[in-house]
Amino acid sequence: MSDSVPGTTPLITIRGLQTHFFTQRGVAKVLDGLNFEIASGRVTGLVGESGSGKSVTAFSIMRLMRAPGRIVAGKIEFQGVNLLQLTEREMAKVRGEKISMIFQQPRASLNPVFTVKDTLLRVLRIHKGLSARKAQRAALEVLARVGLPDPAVVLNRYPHQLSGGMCQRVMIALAISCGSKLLLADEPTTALDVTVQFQIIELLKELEDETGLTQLLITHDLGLVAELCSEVAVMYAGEIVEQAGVHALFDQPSHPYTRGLLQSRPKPGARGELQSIPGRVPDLLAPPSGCRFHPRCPLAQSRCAEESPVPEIVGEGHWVRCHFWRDLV
Amino acid sequence: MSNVLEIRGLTKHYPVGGAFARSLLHAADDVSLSIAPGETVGLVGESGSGKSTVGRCILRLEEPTSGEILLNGESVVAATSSRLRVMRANMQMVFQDPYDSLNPRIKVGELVAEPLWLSGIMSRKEADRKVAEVFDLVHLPTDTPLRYAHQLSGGQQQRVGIARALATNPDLVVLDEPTSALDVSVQAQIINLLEEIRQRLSPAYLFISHDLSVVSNLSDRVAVMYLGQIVEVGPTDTIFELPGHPYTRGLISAAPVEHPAQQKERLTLLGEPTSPVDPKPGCRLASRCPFVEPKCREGELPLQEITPGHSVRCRRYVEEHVDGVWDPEPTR
Amino acid sequence: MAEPLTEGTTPVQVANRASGSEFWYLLRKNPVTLFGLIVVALLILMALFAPLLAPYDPYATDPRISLQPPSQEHLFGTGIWGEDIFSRILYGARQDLAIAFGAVAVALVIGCLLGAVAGYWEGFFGEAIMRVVELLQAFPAFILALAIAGALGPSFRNLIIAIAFTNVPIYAHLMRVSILSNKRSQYAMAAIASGNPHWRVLFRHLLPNSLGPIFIQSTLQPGYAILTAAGLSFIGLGVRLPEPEWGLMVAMGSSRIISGEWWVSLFPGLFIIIAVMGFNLIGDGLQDIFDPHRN
Repeated sequence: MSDSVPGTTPLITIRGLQTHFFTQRGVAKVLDGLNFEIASGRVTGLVGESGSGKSVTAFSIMRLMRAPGRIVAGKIEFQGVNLLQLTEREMAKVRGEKISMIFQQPRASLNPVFTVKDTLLRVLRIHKGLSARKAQRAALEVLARVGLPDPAVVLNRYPHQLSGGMCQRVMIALAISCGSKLLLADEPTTALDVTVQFQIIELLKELEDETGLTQLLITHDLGLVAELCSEVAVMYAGEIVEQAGVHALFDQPSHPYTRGLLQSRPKPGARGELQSIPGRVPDLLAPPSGCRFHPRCPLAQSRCAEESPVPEIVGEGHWVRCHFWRDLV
Repeated sequence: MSNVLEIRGLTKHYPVGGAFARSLLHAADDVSLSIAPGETVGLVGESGSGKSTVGRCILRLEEPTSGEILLNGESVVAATSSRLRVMRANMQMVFQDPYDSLNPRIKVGELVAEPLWLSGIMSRKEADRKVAEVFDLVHLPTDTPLRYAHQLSGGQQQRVGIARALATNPDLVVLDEPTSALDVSVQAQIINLLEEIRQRLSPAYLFISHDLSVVSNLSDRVAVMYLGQIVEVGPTDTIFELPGHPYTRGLISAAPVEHPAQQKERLTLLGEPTSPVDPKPGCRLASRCPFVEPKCREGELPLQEITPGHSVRCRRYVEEHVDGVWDPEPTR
Repeated sequence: MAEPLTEGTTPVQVANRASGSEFWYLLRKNPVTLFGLIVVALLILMALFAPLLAPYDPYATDPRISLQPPSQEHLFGTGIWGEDIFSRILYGARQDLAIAFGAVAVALVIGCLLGAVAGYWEGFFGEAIMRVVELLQAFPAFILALAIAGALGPSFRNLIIAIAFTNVPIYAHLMRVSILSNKRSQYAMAAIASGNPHWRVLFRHLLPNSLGPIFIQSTLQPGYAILTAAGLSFIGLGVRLPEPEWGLMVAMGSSRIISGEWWVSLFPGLFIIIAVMGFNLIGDGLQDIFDPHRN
């Protein structure tokens, strides 16, 4: 399978990742042999609806899965190291210094009893070994860097005294202040107001352009992908069904699900019937046989229910997991 | 023809703060809006704009502080509680969270039947027949009435919510963010369903949402709210092609592009929405507006009609525009 | 750090209550709760079948065999008047369980009604109800029960009333809070928008959804009720002789412990402990099972 992005080296290579949820009603194989790569120095989008397993992928990379979810098998290679074989202590170091994550609810991910200063200076002193004085200066710099007006004021605030957008900027400041190589952004703008969402996207774009920070943007919103990403993987029911460069994906969506997602978006200022995908996201306790999308697919034939499609190459760095993708083109 | 809904000067203030530092949260300030029979009006705004407050006041799920709301010419605000129960058959609401809006312990069929026999339109038996009819209308399987909310998917739950709102054949349906809790693919199903229903039953919709794209897909007219005030209202096309108020422009420009190759001219509003607690005089966008001038911070700003049906609450726009076009230089 | 959400679960699976089969599954994973359930079930069986199980008439006395230590004929020994303690304990289960369940049921109905009304009509009316309830709560429960039982006179019925009174505030508070939070939900608003009159919103829509915490509390409460009943009977304000009631039996033997006849008090005391423990284990376990933050 050739899912690597041409002209780049992957920063993270995921092979055969299995993350299962052990629920009272049975085992949900949310990720069941995921293969995925995040290209270095780029923003990769991971797109899917709720239940697609996109957040589980990020939490697996961070090794932050909690019961009833558990990583059962697989390999997550980061800078030549398999993250799944590290001790919890080593992994904690990776989480602090190499890989950072920001969340949908930025305020909830900051400790409410600490000021921004407490949180930020602690990170700078522990991970960067800076003196108190230098740390303070570095903190002010990084807060200005993420576009917070009045860094000195923000520094002494508690999370509840900041708006959602400001909290998200603080989270991003934390990520870049410890020199992370990879930022996992899990729906970073979903809970924010439209005008603020745009500001955060702008900030992430700047970070890519200026510092080459590798990012994984997890989202349900293809518009954000169009804004920010250069690579896209589309996830459905725990599987990546299509991966491509962002232009290729929007110009030539080759999986019926990708096409459905693109067509079901309402266009601003335009009226008329939307193309929708019938049915609903499957229950992963009993996923459909064969291609997991076949019950909702307009192209589905009997083969789709029997045989799970393997990735087929559409173009350079563009592959799709569908038996009949040629019929769509 | 008279309007289905007529809102005049609707104001809703909430007291906030302690016993000594009394402040007022201006959830809605002097909101006026009318909806003609069969018309769809979009009400757009970010969190804290007061759009949901307006929706809830219309159905009198909240008591307005002042102002008048007329449903088919009859006052909702002054209605007695028994009269209000009858009037509610004519104005219904679809809620944002489809799961939370359905009682988990009552079968969904019974929930949909409730407004029918409660308003005295029909007997309980007739109501059950009608339930089957509306469930068919919203394309739900025939066994759905016997199920509980948690046995349905999010999209199906919202279809039940819509069925409940439609059961009494209301003249007005308030849709409070009906798709924002749903997945993209399901969202499109629901929008299409709402359009289909409009063609068959032609109710008037008030579509409340934070998402301009979703609203524009259904609406004849759009009203934009910011911190409790309507800042612009007009035909959907005008709002998108010739938006007047800087906030409307900011909202449109903040929407993500549709294609990675698309270049979009952007107008960035500074910072974040401030709080609608004890707002300062003048324009409420002043602290975020790139075109702000000292005069923007003075006095009360009225919503002024520019062309018939298109009104804008912006002093500079009203004074400086030429045939609706106004391209100022940023002042900061 | 945020918990990873179980993305795979659509609302279909996140029903906010444990369904039947799931309940048994959880119970099996909570052996302590199961143990509590078995204990209480055995006590109930004991009460139901006391006439079949008891070797002697619990009211029969025989001065010739007074204060005999446990033996094969008298499993738990005999009391001052030669009554068979084992038989009286079996019959005592009837008294104590009836008082416990009776008091809890009365308190539940009154407390829930007060709490529901106070929660729904938050204003002056609700405040007034809650002030009265708090007035009741201001007294230590036992003192309050003591005062009421003292005022009404010692009898089985008055004991139930007294204990019920001390339990009313707990249910009223729980119900009020539960109604308050449910009242803000969208389904409550939807019910009003559907044209439901207020009483129907409250009793048809809100009340059934607010019973969860009440249910858990009412499994804890009988244990405390037994304790209070035994306490009141112990000091002569509850059930009176010759009725077999555990607290009363402990009282009868309390002066005999020093002189060496320990069994008269010990065995009924033991059963009070077992019963209280049984109910508490169930209540604690259910709290765990129904805790929404469990996962």
